[in-house]
Amino acid sequence: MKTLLLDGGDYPMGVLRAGIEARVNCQLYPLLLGLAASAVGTGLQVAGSEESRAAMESTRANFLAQQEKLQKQASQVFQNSAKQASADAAKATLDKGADQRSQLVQALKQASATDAGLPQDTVTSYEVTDDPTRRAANVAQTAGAASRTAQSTAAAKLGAYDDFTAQQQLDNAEASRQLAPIASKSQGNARILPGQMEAASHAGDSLSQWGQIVGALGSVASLGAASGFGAASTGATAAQTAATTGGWSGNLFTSLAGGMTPSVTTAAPAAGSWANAVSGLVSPALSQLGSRKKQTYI
Amino acid sequence: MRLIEFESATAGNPLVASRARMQRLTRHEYGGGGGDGSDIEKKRQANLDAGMSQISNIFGRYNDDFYKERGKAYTDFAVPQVQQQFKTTRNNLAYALARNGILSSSTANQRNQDLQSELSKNLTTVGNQAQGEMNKLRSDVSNARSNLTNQLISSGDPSVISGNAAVATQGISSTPSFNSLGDMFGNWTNTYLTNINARAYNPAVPSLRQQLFG
Repeated sequence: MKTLLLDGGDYPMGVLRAGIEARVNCQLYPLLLGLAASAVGTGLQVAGSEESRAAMESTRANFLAQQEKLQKQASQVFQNSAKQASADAAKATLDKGADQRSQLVQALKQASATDAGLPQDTVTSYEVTDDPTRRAANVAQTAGAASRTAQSTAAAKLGAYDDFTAQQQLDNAEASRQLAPIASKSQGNARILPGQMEAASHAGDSLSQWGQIVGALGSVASLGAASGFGAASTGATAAQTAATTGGWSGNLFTSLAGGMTPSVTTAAPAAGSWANAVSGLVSPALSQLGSRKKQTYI
Repeated sequence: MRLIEFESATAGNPLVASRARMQRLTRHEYGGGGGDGSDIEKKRQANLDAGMSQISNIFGRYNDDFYKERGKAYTDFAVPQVQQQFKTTRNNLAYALARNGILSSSTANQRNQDLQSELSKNLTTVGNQAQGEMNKLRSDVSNARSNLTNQLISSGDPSVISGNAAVATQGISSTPSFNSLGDMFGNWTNTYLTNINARAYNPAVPSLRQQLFG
């Protein structure tokens, strides 16, 4: 049992106890605060990463939705174009073209007969006459008119294929015109996607930055607190030296400080600012105490 | 705005300042907006829609009536020529038949029917040609519209539409120039009328029937 010999009552022991408690409080609270700050910082960084990930996922989903919408538009254009190229549509176009051409030619013939006094190219009823030449003329006219009408109709049907081809080209051109802006939009969306993803990857930067800052402060506080414990041995040595210088000797301070910091001494070999501050405060106090009370510690 | 608030809130932090500088560079690379080019692209796509709407308005007046007008323009150009050529040929036929003394004959009936068939054929040709002119005009309008659409997509600027549309549609709306019809009854004349005239002055010339069937 080691005894502390004191000639001045319990005052030095009270100072020692208060110093140790103050030192423990000064080192434990920053340590806990640092650990908490580190945890909060890590949490903020995780939240920032999550925000970035969510933003990137949202960007990707938005891009796919836009592309799908454009794809549907393009598909609709294609379906319409394909529908116009079907056999039924082709027959309708051919019939319509043939009718238009027949009507146009018929209108020209009638206009020519009316305006220019040209022979009416229609099938007429037989004129009742005894003149054989006249009757023959009527027969020839009637037969000729029927033949010419048939020829015009055939020519109109033949020409309708030109109309069909022309209509197909027009439809294809129209489809291309409708597809062009859709394709351009799709390409534009794809073109900016890397930039959007890059921007989205920074969506959580603000949280991450704060997380880094808070985490860094926490690390500093933790290191400082830890270094403070480690520096306790330094402080103890200094105090022991001071005590020896002042008449104190023994290993009470060493045992007290060493008992508390068996591991952190090696964890924080370099004293941080916090530890320096703490040891700087504690060591002079112990030195002063040693100089004031020259006692022998057995 | 969000970037500005972020920069204000994190001013003095070198790491944050570096990241913000990188974002500014990214934004500059894409030309502004939100830093990822999306604003620019949205504006471009809006311009495309506006330009396409503008093009639709410009070309909306090219409807069926417009194309029929072109067809009518062609028939107004061609039919009178056909009529005039027919009258001339018919007169020449009458003269030739009269010279042969067969003005009222089955041959005359047949020649007149042949001539009328030739007229019908030529009017059919004119009608088809008119339809072809309408189709050609439709194609020209379609090409002009496609060119404007391509210009819009390339430039992304709808303001180029109004200026270029006037140039593109100028040729479409201008008075068309049609090729001359030529002698549309020339072949018939060579086939029938020449033979009749030759026989009128030289009976030794074989008739058309003799030429064809021996």
